[in-house]
Formats: sequence, C-alpha cells, structure tokens
Amino acid sequence: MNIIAFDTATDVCSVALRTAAGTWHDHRVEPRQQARLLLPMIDALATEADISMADFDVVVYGRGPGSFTGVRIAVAAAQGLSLAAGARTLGISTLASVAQVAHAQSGATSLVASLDARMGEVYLGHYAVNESLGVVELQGTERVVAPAELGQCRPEALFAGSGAERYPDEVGGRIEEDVWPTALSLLELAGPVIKAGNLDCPGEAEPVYLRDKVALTEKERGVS
Amino acid sequence: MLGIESSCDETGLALCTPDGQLLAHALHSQIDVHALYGGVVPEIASRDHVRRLVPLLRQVLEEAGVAPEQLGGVGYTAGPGLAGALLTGATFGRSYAASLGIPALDVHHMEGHLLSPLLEPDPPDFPFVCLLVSGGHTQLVEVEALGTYNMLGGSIDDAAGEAFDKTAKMLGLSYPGGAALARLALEGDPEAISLPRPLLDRPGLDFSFSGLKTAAITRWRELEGAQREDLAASFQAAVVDVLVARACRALDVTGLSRLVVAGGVSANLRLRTQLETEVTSRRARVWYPRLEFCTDNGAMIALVAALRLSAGERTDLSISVRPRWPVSDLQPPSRKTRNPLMQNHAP
Repeated sequence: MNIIAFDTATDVCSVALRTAAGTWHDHRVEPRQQARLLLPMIDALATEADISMADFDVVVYGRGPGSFTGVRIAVAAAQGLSLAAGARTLGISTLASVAQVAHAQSGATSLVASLDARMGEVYLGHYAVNESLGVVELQGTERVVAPAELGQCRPEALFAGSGAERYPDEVGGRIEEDVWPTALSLLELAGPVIKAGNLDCPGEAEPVYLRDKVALTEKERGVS
Repeated sequence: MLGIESSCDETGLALCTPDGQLLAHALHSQIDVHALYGGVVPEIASRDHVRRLVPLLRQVLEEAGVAPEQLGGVGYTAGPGLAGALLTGATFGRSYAASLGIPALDVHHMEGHLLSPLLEPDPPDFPFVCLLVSGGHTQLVEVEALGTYNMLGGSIDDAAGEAFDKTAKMLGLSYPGGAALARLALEGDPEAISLPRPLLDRPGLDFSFSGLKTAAITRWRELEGAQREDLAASFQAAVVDVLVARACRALDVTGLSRLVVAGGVSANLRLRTQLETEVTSRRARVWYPRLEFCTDNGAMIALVAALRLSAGERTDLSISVRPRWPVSDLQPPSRKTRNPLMQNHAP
C-alpha cells in the first residue's frame, strides 16, 4: 500500500511517503511557500520510491486547524490527488500531529497542543497517549480560545506548538520547544485508522478551521 | 481539456476539446451568501470554492461523458483575483493534473473574458478590439492574436460594474445591485437628471466612474429619496454613453472593424442596444459571449487552456497565483514550461 501524507497548515511544508519498500520524507520550514513546494516535494519522494502519483492508495492530509490558506492547500491537493488516483483519503488533526511529535521527542503522555490562531487566540487540544497503539488521542474537543485558557489546562501536561510558544507566560506547565506538525507523525496517527479501514472516498477531503465566524453580516453590523 | 475558475465568488468548471469546442460546463455562484455581508468576503469565498470543486468536476465529466483518463490537460485561473480563492482552484487543478500525469497551465482570468466570444458558433476573427467591462475591470484591449494584447485604456478609479453596484446600494438595492439598478432604470427617464460623462471631453481611451458615482450620490441626497427610477435610468445612461463613446473611439484609433464586449456589464441591455446602433453605423460589428458567459465561468478558462496547451505551453508543478496580473504581461503561447516567480498565498 502506498500512503502519501502532507501538512501545510503552519509555517512548514511536510511530506512523507510510505510504501512496501520503505518510508521517505521531506520537511521544510518555509512560511507561505507551501503552494510552491508541495507538489514538487511529493513528486520527488514518489520518484525516489520509484512510483508515480497515480500509484497512491491513501492520501493523508493535515486537515487543520491552522492558517486558513495553508489548510485549504492541503485539502485541495488531497482532493485533486485522490480523485485522480482513485485513492482513499484521511484527514488528521494538525494539533494531533503537534502532540504526536511532542510525545515522540519527550516521551510525555499528557500533552497540550496549541497553535497561534492570531487575533489574540490559540487553537487548543489536550491529548493523552494510547500506549497500546503508540499514538496520541484527543481528550475532549479541539477549540479556539483566549491564551489565558492555556493556564487552565492540566498542570502535569507538556505544552507544545506555536500557541504555547507565543504566550509562554500563560502556560501552566513545561513547554517543549520548536515542535511543528510533521507528515511522519501523520503517518503514525493514520496507521490504526487505515488498519481499521475507516477511510473516506476519493475526492473527499474537508478542512477544519475551528474559527468558523470570519465576518459580520450587514444585519450583525447594524447596516440597514 | 478541463478549465477551473475560482478567482472571486463563482466556482466554474468546464470541459472542451483541444480546439476549443465546449463539451460541458457547470457553475456555482456564491452571490446569495455574500449578499448577507453586503459584498464579497474573501475568506468565505475560498471556503465555498473548496466545497464545490469536486462535485462540479464530477458533474461536467458526467455531462460530457468523459472519463478522467481521457483528459488531455487542466487549466486553472491563476490570476488576477482574490489570492485565497485563486489558490484553492489552482491547487486542486494542478494536483489533479499531476496525478493524472497530464499537462497543466496557469490561465489569466481576463484572457478568458477577452476570448470568450470564440466559444460561440460565429466567432470573430483576429484582430479585434475588446471592451472588457465588469465589477472588477473596465478596459479596452486590442487583441491582435492569441497572447498579443495591447492595452488601449482602462479605468483610473472604479470599474463600471463597481460604480453600478455602489450606486445601486445607495438607492437601497440589495447586493450585487448592478442588474437590479438596470431593471429599475427601465421604469425611469434617462434624461430626467443631468449627470456628467467623465473624461469624454479628453483625448485617450481611459475611463473614470468615481466622479459620476459621487455626482449620483449628491443628486440622490438633493432629491431626498424622490425620482429613484429616474436617477437609476440617468446613471445607467451616463455609464453607457461613456462606454459606447470610448469603444467607438477605440475602433477609430485602431482602424479595426470588430468589437468584442465581455464581462458582467456586457449583459446590460441599454449598452447592447446603443453599441449595436453606433458600431453598425461605422460599418463595424460587435460580438458578445452568450449571457451565461458574460460573468465568470469555467468555459472561458477551458478555452484558453485548450488553445495554449495545444500550442505546447505548460506550467510546472509549483503552484503560484498572481492576484494582480496585468493582461499586457501575457505573451503568445510558448513551448517553454512556465514557472514565473509569482506571489504565493496571502498571509
């Protein structure tokens, strides 16, 4: 089975490919360059693995939250690639990816992943490690909240991601520095889901923004 | 050939043959959504595009009876337009082409409008003058051949359609009010209220509609809500007079006898009637795209993609969009693969 995974929701463009022959990955921190980088990076990995993009069986994409435009780049690419290849799709939370990376780096089993949502807010999710599967699992729901809520999270948790790094004074626990979502972690998180066969159909890919209200209607602005 | 349009608030997909014969097209307009906000909200537009692309693609493939394996290339609007909206269609289209292993191409939205009458059964030959008149653009372009475009003039402030929409809003018509203003104008007297015809007393082929809009607003205040129909009719008459006079001057300056009128405002009935009279009196002829292709659509993008891809032009795997992209930057088709260093996505 050939599985391509990528995340473009933050400042990184991260791509990984797993085939029966091995795993290849490429990870670059280049803010706002994901559209330019994504397909050439995917193509290079496919070439290394001696397959074509038409040979992808599963497309795993970082579904957000994160930069709205970055999230849509991953989603639109997943739609196009999977539809043409007849590949099944799977959206994985970008926050879960951050938590998975922080767990791999630190060994911590209680993690708070957060990303800077701008406009004075952060995207936030609390994760615990499922020891038997080796992956993090969301506890409760992902939310977009004021940074002060970082301080109300479990004090024993390890904090990771650009949200905690932007607001260190609000964080109630230890911060694991310089943690980005990675496509390799998407592959790890996708493993149990793929094994269970819980995949979406080709062309099906949806973003998760968390911040769903982006403008006021005329009625809400009091415009007659 | 597949064409994808997502530069603003309409998602359009279409299929045509390599020589530009239209096979199928589908369009989803977001007008109802943006009407609640009084104008296009770029983020909401982008979010809607990403929901519509796959269903619309399936629709056109089914309508044309074409299997994905039969596609020969994909073109997508890469500019000008809203950055986030452009990126959605470009990323989808470029990824789809990459996985199918077929060529892809960045398409200029305005080139689509310029050439849209070529989709009709009786298309104009090159060269011709194109009056491009929409909510975002008012331009006069001399079209010598595919990719050879000379800018003759353009609006120095508001586009004609924008002036229509803003004046309609002042008159209490709901967004996007241009078409509603034209309907209201049918009930009014176009000579009832005196309004200026900006720049017509000056040489050149540029337009200006900001002063006309301001004059209409001033008159509206003076009238205290009376003569709404007359103001709509008078405003429309002033805009149309300017457009017609400039288009005819462009024919005179270039010595050409073919005029193409494209863009959303080209659907305006008064404009069409007046142009027909003036252009015919010059022993020239005017062409329009069919009404459904006056506004943004995928068919015109599929057409440009077909013409340029068939000539060997290609865009590489890097996805780039140009929210600002002058039509005069375009070149005739080249076999060289394009990867212009362009702006990527908005912050």
